[in-house]
Amino acid sequence: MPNDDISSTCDRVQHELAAFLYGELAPDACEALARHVGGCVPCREELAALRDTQRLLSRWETPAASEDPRLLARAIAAQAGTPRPVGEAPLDAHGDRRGRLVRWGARVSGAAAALLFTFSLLNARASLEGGRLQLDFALPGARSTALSASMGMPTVALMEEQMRAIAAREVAARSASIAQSQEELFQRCSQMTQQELLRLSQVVDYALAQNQRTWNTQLTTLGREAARTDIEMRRALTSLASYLPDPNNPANR
Amino acid sequence: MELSDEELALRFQNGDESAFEAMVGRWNEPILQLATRLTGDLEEAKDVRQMALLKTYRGLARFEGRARFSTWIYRVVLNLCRDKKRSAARAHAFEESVREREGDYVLEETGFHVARDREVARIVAQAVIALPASEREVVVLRHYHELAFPAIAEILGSPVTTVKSRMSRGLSLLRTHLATLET
Ligand SMILES: [Zn+2]
Repeated sequence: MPNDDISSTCDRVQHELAAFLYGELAPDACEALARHVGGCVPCREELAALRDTQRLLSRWETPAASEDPRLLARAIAAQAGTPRPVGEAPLDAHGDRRGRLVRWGARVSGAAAALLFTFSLLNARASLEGGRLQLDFALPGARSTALSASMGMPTVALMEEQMRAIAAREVAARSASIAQSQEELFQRCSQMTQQELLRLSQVVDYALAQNQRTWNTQLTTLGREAARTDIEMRRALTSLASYLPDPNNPANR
Repeated sequence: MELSDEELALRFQNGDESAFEAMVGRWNEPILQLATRLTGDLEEAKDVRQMALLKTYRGLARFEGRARFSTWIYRVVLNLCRDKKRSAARAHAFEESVREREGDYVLEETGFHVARDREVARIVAQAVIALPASEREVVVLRHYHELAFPAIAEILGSPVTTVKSRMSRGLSLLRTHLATLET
């Protein structure tokens, strides 16, 4: 039955058309297929139609990836949670961290700003040298007037020096713990730089939102801790001040 | 000389972080393209890429090189795309996943042609996405990623004959879908 032969040949050929179009047919099979298609109208039409389909497929292009692969890789590494070598600042040199703190303070809005404000409330001038916190303690005129008035001490200028000495001791005792929380803050800030990379790479929006919330919460906590330290320090200073010699008492002259 | 994926994996295992950057540079685009064409959604595709790269970062440490890295990463992306449930509501995202050939913009300056080309791209994309998953995977890997049938068979863990049949069937379905379009 020649008709059946022909149709089974056509079936086989049409089954191989895809492989033929994509160059995955062995050379001898290619030859046989070409021979058949040359003499068979239905198979020729089928081949032409599939070739058109193949061409149409190429009309669909997808948008190119817009992200910088290096930033993307870093964002992935950050998300995977690679530990950074201890003591190594992530991008800049050590001394640059203070600038970053201020920058992030401005950027991270409420929480960090509250923290910086708290440090200013300490009446302390904080500076960073080689990653260590240095504190200078000074009583500004207005504050010390208020303080001395409440403690019944008229000569502000006289007690200021003694006050400073006592406060310096007090601050020195606390500076270790303050330095530690400061260090924590820097750790957080440096991780937030990775977060900046996440934002730039625009691939982990959801992680960013989540981290932002986490950091904000933690910064708020840090701010509260600093505020508590401030209150404690003030309380300590007040009670220390009560032990100061009264300059008006002749026995103390 | 360019290092192979397997050599990069080895470097990464030895602590060379830049090897991962090179890896991302190489695979960022193919992963995103594959995921976009399989999900039909650019945002979902970015999600898939994110997860695939994360899996890569974590998996490289244990990568033993028994299979080729490319086989492994394609498999990861396919699985992630299968897990993604396509939400029909995201028609807008689908639009974003379609971009007509760049050349058409240059050659055809009239709005009419740009609109028409975009329409063609959209219809083709819809036809590919409408394919059954098993056909769609083979068509996308063969046509857009230019992988040979044996490589696709290895990725899918199926015989080459199965891959061939799916390609054949996929093309036939597309042909029916796209019959009204001129090339
Ligand atoms: Zn025939």
